[in-house]
Amino acid sequence: MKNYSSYLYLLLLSGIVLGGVSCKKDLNAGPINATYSSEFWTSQSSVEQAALSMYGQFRACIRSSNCFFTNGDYVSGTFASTAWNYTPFTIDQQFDFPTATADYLGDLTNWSRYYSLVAQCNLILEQVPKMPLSDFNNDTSIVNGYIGEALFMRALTYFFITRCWGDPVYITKTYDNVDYGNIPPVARTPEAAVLDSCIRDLQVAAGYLSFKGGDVSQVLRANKGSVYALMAHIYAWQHDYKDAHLACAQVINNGGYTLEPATTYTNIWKGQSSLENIMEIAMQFNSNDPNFLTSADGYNDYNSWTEAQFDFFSVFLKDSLDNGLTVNAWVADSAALDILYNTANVTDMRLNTILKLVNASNGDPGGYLLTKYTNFTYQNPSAQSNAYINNNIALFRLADIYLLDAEALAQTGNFAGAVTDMNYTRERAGIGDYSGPMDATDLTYQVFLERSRELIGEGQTFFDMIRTQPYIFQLTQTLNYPPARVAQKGYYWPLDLGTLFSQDALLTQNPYWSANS
Amino acid sequence: MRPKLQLLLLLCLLIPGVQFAQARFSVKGTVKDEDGKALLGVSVKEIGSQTGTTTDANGDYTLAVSSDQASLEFSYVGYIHQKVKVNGRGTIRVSLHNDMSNGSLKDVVVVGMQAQTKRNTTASISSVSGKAIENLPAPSFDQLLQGRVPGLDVQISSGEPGVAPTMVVRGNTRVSQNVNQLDQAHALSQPLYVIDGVPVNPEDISNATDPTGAAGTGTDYLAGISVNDIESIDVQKDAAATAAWGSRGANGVIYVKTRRGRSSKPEFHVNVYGGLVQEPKLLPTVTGSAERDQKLALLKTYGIYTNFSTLPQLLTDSVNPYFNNATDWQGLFYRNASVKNTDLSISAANDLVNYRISMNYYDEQGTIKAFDFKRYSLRANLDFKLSPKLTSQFVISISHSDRARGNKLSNTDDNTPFNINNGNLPSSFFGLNGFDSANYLGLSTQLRNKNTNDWYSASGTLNYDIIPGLRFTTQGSVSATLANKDYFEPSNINEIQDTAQGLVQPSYAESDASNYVNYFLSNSLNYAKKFAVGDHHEQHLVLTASQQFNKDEAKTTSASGYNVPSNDIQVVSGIPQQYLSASSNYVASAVLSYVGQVQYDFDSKYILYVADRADASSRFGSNYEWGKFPAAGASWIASDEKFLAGTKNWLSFLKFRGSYGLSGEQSQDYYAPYNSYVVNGTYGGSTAISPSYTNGLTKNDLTWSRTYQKDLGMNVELLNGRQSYINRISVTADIYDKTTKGDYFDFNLPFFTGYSSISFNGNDLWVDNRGLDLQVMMHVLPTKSKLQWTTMLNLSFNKNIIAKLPNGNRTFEIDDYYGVGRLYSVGQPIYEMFQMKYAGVYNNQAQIPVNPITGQSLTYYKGYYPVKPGYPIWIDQNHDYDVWSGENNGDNFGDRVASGNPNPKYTGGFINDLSYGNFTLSILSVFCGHRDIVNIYNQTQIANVFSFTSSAYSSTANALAANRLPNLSGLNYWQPGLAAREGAAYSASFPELNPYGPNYYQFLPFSTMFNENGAYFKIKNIALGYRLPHSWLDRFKISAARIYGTIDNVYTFTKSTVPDPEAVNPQGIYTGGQYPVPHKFTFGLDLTF
Repeated sequence: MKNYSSYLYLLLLSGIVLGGVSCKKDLNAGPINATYSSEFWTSQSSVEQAALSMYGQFRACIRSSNCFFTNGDYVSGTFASTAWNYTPFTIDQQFDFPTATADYLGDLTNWSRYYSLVAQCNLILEQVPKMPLSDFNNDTSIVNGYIGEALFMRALTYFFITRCWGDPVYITKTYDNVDYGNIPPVARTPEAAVLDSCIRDLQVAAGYLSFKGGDVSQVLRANKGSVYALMAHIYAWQHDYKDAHLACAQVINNGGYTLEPATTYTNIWKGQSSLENIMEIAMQFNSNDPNFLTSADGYNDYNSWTEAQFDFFSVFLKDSLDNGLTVNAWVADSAALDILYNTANVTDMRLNTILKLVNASNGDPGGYLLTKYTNFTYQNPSAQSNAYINNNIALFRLADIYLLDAEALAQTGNFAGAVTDMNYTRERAGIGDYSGPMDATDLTYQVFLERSRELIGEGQTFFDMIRTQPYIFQLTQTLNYPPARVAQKGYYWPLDLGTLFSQDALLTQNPYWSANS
Repeated sequence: MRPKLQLLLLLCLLIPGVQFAQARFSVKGTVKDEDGKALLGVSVKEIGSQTGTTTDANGDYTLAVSSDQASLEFSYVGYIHQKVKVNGRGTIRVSLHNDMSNGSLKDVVVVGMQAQTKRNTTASISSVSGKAIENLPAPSFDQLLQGRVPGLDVQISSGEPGVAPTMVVRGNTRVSQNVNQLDQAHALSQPLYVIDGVPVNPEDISNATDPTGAAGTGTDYLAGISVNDIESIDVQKDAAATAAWGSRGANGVIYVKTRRGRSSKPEFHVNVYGGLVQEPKLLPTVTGSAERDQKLALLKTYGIYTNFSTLPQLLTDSVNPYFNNATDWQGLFYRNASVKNTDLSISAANDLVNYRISMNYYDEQGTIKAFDFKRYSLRANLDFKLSPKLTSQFVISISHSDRARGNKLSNTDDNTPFNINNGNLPSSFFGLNGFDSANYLGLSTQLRNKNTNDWYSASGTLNYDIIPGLRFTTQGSVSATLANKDYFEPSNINEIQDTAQGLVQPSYAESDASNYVNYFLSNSLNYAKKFAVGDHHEQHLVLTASQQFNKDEAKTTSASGYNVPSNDIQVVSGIPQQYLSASSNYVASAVLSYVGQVQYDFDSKYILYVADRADASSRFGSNYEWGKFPAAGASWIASDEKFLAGTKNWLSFLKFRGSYGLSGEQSQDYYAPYNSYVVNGTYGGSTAISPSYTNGLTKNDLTWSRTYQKDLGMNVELLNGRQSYINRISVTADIYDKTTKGDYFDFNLPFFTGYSSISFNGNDLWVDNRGLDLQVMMHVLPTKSKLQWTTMLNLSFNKNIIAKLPNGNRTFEIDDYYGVGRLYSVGQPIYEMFQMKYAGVYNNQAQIPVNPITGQSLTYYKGYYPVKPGYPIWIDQNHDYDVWSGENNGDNFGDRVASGNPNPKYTGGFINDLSYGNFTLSILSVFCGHRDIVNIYNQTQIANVFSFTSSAYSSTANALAANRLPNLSGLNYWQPGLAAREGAAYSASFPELNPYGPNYYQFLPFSTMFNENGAYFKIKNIALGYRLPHSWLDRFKISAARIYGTIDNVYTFTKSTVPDPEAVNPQGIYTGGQYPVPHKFTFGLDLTF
């Protein structure tokens, strides 16, 4: 008996010992529930997913707290809202925008989200060159394409940061494997130096990317056209109008874009529908989106990655336009717009197409509603639930570049060229060719007005005011900024130092706000 | 093979009945206890036969045995069984040891892979006998260790049946920045459990199997073991003990041995108890007309004439029966409940086989409606001696538990089944009909919240004695934990609340399944050798080498969805596609370890111990996967020295110990070194992936966290065997200093990195715990006395401080969910509160400080609120004549100071065991020294004085009328009328409660206004037992019977105003929603056949 049981145990024992052989393998097993660096950067499809993340992150950045419209349009005084956290920097309130409510508009004083996007660009720029060419079908142009996109997106991000807050903290590396408890603080870099770096990156990117004009399926991502468009904006921001014109000329002459006809004007914001658009940011519903309304309660249950949302565009809508779901719509002052669009004498096509005059209701004043983004839809039409607005943002389009070129030509003395550029959009809108004085200041002002009419609600007007302030004084004359505020660059937003300073001991407040907070 | 197998099985079954040839030999003798008292009714049996007898009143016995080489076994309930070889002797005197005491020095403790006697060990180990905790009404043993072990701080912060208490050995080492959503059990560092040699880490199980992650169900994974199956529990505290357990040993090790058979005659044991779980005492509240008077008084005190035109009917109409109720809403949710427990076991032991098979059923209802816990368990411990050289042990355990948890979906939810914020209970005026109560209860009867856990565990051990002294042991075990959660919430569960807000709440169903499997294999060689040195000395050497492999795998599957088509369908079925979500997960990790241990002694007087252990874990990068954990200890048994021989009559035993060593902990994250990427969503319809913002950076250098511990200890036994009023005093004292470095810490990264945080070794994060463990036990009465009294005091002092912080010791602060700031600063304890200091009320204008430079009086809230009489006194710490929690210039600290430590200053227990004849009485008291807690419940209700009006038709008075206020009768709050009348002599003790006054958040817990001292002394339980005399039992063929009753959670002495200062969360917060710890009364019967 004893012998047999011993055999049994020996069998058991050998089984146990054999089971132990697999231990080396177990000790080195990686996760199968997530991907991670060393597995991720091994295929072109991963790089594609990482590249798409840049655009999605950019979309989240500009949608956060509606900052795309708040920064570019609201604070230019075009719109007014009765929402409690927006009233203090409505133009007729005598507040310094936006201190009174900075606590309640945290994302407008906190740039952290843009640095997540910078980190993603830097990661691609670091990882892609390390990958073997064979991962990309041995095609150098594919590798260069991704590098070009990342360079473009990084430049775009720093340009957005600069236009909002001035000098950025300029980061071009990834923080992998550093001493996480002792990351040295980084001071702000002067905006001119950062923008110069961006220009250099864009020049490289221009060599890596190609024009995609004429193909509306290609507008959601960076291309050579968007590179030159951004370059033009950066040069113009730095008042280097000579180079700005050269960049605009690249887009106009080589891009392959054509202005949208007046009859189909709203195709520009319809989403991948207009040959005028150089680059759009995708914000339309698609059935692959895992973040779209997964839970059942409420109509506005989205996260920052949900492609189609309600809240972002809905600020411009009310009443029948969004079935009354918006409270405190942004309404444009009718008196100001009547002057801008000269309603007394000319009927501007845009006034009828993208603006709608409404009476005061629900506590909002009367005025014009912007109707560029009105593709309001219910996911569940029968239950009238899960509402969203299905439009894209036109980040760069040919009209913008024509008018930027017009400004550049006006500033560099080519007045006839400026008028030619300006007339493209005037003619489309049916307000006739420009026939006023031909000097730099008048033309710059007229271009500014035409940009305000054409690009209303596209996140441009306030930055146009800053850029042209030295020539046409919009900040001081229209917005009543004291000259000292302009001198201190008080048009930039303050930084939320309460949050950010503890992370970066070298960070400083913008001069105007450190003196006036 | 097959017939042989059957034969083997048959043999196994027959073994208990094997008989031996008979031959007669007579033995007689006396049985006494360790104090020399004769024991009546001790069972004396010949091992391997049916022959047996019992002792008489003088302890005498006579027995005819089969031969002069037979073995006798002496067994007696409550005493350690003893086996004696007759060896030709005609008279055998025996003394049995009471096993109520915490183990004798001969007891063996297992340290790493080495067995050591308590006498010789160099480690700091405290033991609790299974006897001491059996039959106490609790589902798992962990909470019963409270007060019984110096150095172990157990806080039972929840009375929910089946939920784990916090267990901290020698101070918390975990610095968590997540002060909001912490599960009770995850807030503090937890020890490693070793059950019959197999390491079990409940934290791993709960992390890996709770589908909801850190905010899991709080299941106590130790509840799979029936308390009455436990033989002993050893709590191992210092490095000499914990380093040998290597990974995860850093926070202490709790070694549990389960019971085995010990009587040669098969023993059948039945134990049943049951009792009442009492509805908790409710907080005093004012209702009905008293409430109306109180509210009107407030309005009259502070309001002006025009205010009274808008009073709601709720306040004014005292005769309308609809507004004239007196509902104490708290009472709606509680009930009296019951607890039941049944144990059955059969066991026997002889030379060849030792078995014990036990079954248990435990059922405890919660004192909150819709909560309960049921457990069914089976455990078999089987030992076989296969040959003189080969022995084996098998332990098989199966257990199933079932918990109902109201509508708690995750453990961080407050335990109240209703859906009203606790501080915001409605006013008592509202009439209560069935519809209302159903809604306030959250339709708890219609909720389905079924949580089941199944534990399966099997382990086998083989010991083979290769040559004398050299033993090879192999142990393999598999244990599986299966957890299921099925939850259903009908639509419109909170109808009243939701319709008020115009919401339709959809129904929700969730079904989760998870399993966790742990494989453990160890092979060890143990060599013990005795060397004689000269004629009078000997040396002992024990060498142990071991290799271990541990692998765990966990997978979870979860499906959930909103809008189940009908409230009759309570599973995830028929849900529209867009509301459906599902996920699954799989994680696995492995640890390979090599252990070497050497114990050497000279004459068992000078003892040296050295251990080294190397662990490789899959949870670290390949460069850093190995961690080495050396430790050394020495002890000196001074009482054996010749120069102390003269003191032998009073100093029975004196030992000094010291140890130093390093132990480690691996990351809780299974894939810690792998930075994770997340699928963000889509852009233009195509999938986008990026690194996670919270774990996206690579960390190839991630490694073990390290705990260095120094321990100095002594064991003293005095007056052993003396016939005096105090005898057998034993004292164990240890001082320790434990520094944990490089624990896993969620670093907040600067914005410019693009990532918000990363979990990494806090190499510059040191936590230091130093303290004193003290245990004093004594027998108070002479050993001859019929009344016996053993008294024991356990004391643990621990001082917890953060010794170093990253970023050059940069202090930082985080506000918790309730608004209490938490300070992370060198020299401060973990979770130190950070608040403005509150110091009463400004009674009159003269007391308000004035800035001598500006002439302006003190202001609050960045200058917005000039201080007036009736305002609270908040200390202006930064002398800028404004008090607030932060400053506009980016200073987030403002006038706040370190203001409260939620870690107890000391904890301990006081145990008194008395016996008189057949009666035993055991009283356990536990206590906790100064500890700062915050009464958020009171705070929320006081803050109800101001209510933001919900609509244009509402008013201050409406809001005041609708919400509940605490009882204000004892509160001397500042009143303008009294202040005017009494002038400078006026002295209120609390700020004004002015519903019309300015609201500058004065009643939020960012000041110390609601801080209290949470110290307590608790009579934890009283157990009274009576052993029925044998004369009554013999005719029923019962060998022993005992009836007993217990009262659990008897009474709490405290200065705090919260109902139970222990039932607060680990950060010291009392919300009113914590599950109250109930009183339990049980009565039971224990029978042995």
